[in-house]
Amino acid sequence: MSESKSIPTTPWWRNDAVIFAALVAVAAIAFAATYGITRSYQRRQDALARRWYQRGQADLDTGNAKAAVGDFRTALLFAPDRQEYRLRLAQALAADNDIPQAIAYFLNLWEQQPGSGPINLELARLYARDRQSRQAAHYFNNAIYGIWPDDAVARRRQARIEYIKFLLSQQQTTQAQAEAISLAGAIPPGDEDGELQAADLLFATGDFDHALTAYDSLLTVDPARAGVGAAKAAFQLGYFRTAAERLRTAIEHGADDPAAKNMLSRAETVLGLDPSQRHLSNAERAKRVSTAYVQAGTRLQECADQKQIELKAIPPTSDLQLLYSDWSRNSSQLSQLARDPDTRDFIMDLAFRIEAATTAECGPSASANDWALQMLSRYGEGVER
Amino acid sequence: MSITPNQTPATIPPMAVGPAVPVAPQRSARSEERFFLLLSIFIGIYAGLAVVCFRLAIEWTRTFSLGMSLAVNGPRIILAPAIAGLIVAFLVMKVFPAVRGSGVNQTKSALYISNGYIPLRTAIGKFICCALAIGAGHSLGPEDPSLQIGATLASALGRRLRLSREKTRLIAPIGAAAGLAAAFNAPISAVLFVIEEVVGRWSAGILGSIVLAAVSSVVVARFFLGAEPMFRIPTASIISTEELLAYALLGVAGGIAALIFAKLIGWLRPILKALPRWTQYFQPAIAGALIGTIGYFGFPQIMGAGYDYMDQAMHNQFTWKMLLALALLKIIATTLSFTSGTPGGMFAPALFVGAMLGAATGGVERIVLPHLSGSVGTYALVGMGVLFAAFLRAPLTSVFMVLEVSGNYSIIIPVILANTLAYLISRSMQPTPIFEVLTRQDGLELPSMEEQREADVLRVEDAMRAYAGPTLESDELADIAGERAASSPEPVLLVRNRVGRTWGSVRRDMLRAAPPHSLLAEILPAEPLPVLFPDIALETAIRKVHGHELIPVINRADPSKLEGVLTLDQVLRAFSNAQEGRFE
Repeated sequence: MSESKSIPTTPWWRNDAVIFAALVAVAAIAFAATYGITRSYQRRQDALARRWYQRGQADLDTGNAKAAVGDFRTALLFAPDRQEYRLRLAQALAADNDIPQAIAYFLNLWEQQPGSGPINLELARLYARDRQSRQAAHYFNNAIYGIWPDDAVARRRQARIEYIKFLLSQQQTTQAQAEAISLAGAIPPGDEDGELQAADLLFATGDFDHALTAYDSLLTVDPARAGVGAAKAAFQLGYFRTAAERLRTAIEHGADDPAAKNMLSRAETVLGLDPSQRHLSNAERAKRVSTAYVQAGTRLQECADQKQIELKAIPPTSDLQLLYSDWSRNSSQLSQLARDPDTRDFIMDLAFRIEAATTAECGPSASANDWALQMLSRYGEGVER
Repeated sequence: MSITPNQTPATIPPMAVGPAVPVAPQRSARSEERFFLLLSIFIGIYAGLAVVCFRLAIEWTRTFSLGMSLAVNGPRIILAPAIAGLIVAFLVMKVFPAVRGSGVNQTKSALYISNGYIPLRTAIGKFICCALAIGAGHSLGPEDPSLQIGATLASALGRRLRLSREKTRLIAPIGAAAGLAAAFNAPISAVLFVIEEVVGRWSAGILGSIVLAAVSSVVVARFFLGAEPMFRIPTASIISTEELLAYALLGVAGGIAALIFAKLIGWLRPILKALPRWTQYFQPAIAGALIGTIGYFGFPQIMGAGYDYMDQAMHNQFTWKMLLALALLKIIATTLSFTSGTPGGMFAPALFVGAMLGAATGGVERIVLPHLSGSVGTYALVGMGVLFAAFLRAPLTSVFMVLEVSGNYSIIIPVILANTLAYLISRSMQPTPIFEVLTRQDGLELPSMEEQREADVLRVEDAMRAYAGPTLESDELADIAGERAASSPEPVLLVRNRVGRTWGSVRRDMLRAAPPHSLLAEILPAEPLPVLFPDIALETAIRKVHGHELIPVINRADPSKLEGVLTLDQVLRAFSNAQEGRFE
């Protein structure tokens, strides 16, 4: 008994397990208290942040971007983690034309969400405004293939449309065409507005073939708008027969575009001067060639007068004088036009050469017939398509 | 600056005269190691919780005193820091005298002077006074107080749990690391800083505890405050190697700025401390009013810790002229706040100055060499590291801090380049680091970690001499060995045991007294002599030399090859020569 008394014993409350239990208990109490404090603090901060955010929204809506920037910054002071506040601040900076800062903010947002469609699109727009085309193209592409929170198909399409317009503004037509073809291919069946928009962009990028096909596919849906579009594309391709037909249909369906009517008139002039149309009598062909011959002669004389060149000079030295010499020498051939197809071709060729030379020498002519002769020269039998 | 009975530095009394630390260990050394490691986790949790509350208190004070808007206007901007200064001064003078000064130094003095003792009251005082001062706009940072709050909590816990003297000493730095880690949201930097600046040595035991505490405090802080980094780091990249020249310039500028900053504090602090005691009630208020005035005239960014504005600088939201002005004004404002005795830290101000200086350098480069310059944010980030290296003189921490905060290792080359340049400039122009300047002004002599790192290490090769006697073999006959040693000037002879590759020693007179035909191995002591290598530090060697007349110094590649011998007398002479600045 006496021996057991001499052994030093540790009080129970100095036992390691008890100490750790106490440490855990204190930590739990402190944790709970801190949690309560932070929650209450957070609620207050959130309320303040919301108030400043709403004020910023109101300022942004009324066009007071500078004030909105300050409001959103204060909102972020109280809720630094809110992505939407940062997004709004960046948008306010962009609205305030503070491009470098807006880019900096969007880049920061981008780092957290590199796949976000809206952020990439905003960055692309800012870089486009800042004329940094390489960066803009990079972010446009990211936006097109990025993640969109809602209505992803439409938003991606919209991003691609903006990208195409940006490429066009940068004169990057080939790339714009490729994007426009992709756009047209990605439009779901039945989305006529989308198809029409794609057809417009194909036309704008100079891809008239695809544009014509796209417009033609919409003729039954919107014959007025699609008809005018198809006519414009056909016109650019030199398909004046198609252009005239589409224009007539469009005008019948209510298209009252003055340009369309002018186009129709020009297409009809081209078709009316074309001697190679099928089903024409030889007399009619001869008449058309004769008209071309006269028109070319008139044009030659006008141009010579404009440049004060004596066409009848001997010997002829200038291009115009040589052409005049050819033109006057062949006047005797006109009587054979109805009989001899080669003569018709020869006279038409002379008229085309005169039109080309006078345009080079004196600039484009105001006459619809001269222009029609040039189109016939350029597109040949294509005008009948 | 000497300490007079009437003017005792506030940092000393509570610690130096603190109660004796219990020295009776309750556990075996091994079980205490395990207990200590587990305890480190709890220290981290407590420190993390305290720092979370401290941060909230600062934010709450800011909203209450300066208002809810980011843009503070009107007389409030001057009145708030001035009134806070008055309250803080009263608290410091009457209630919490120990909260004045640097938390880093106070933790160091707890480690080296008062056996790890820091009164709990210090943490309470730091919490209240720093929250008031920083929240109301004094140009100080929350990291240093967080460090000290962590250290104080740990110290109190250590005392309560009656740890051994060694552990009680070390527990304060562990708490310091936890506090700093939670404040910075950067555990690696906190661990490195405490090792580099407070503890000064690496050992598995300390490192394990510090890491555990730092990690657990960061986890707690992130749970409550979110895992977001302190700054929204912009895309950091370098365009070309030529751009390194700009970073080198930033290093030089940072070194000079750090020098001005440190000199200004070192010059003004003793002047203000020497003023009559009653003025100390008003110094923080006057400093606050002056800082508020700077804010009133268009530079409110310099008020408080300034993290929001560092963030803005990183995102290229100021012109380079504004950035330079902010850097300069922040140095002035922090000097005013700190030297007036307002409690608070200098980490955040140093980072602020660095960020502004860095962003200004980036901004100027964009104008001068637009094709070369990368993101201004990268410059701001590197600038922060530069001031950390040059002003706080923690070069290793500065590099890791930038990498940890940015999470981008591609900027390591400019960081290392700029930090090294800044550190070298600062060190060459002001050999004494700012923390040491402050401790010496307070009349303390704490070990300077930088001086320790820089100190020349004396090695065995600096003290050993050539062995002049014959090297005897243990299988040699003693009488023959005696004949060989007869003419030797060495009174003690070395004996080599080829078989065991060990060494022994024998006195010459013992050889003469040995029985005839006996082998040397028979008369040698059973315990072989300890051996040394030429590269071993003398501090280590002295433990082996003690109790022996001489010790063989052998070759590491060939242990049977003798390089020389070392005696206690030679060790002491080498230390003495080093003290006098000469080596043999």
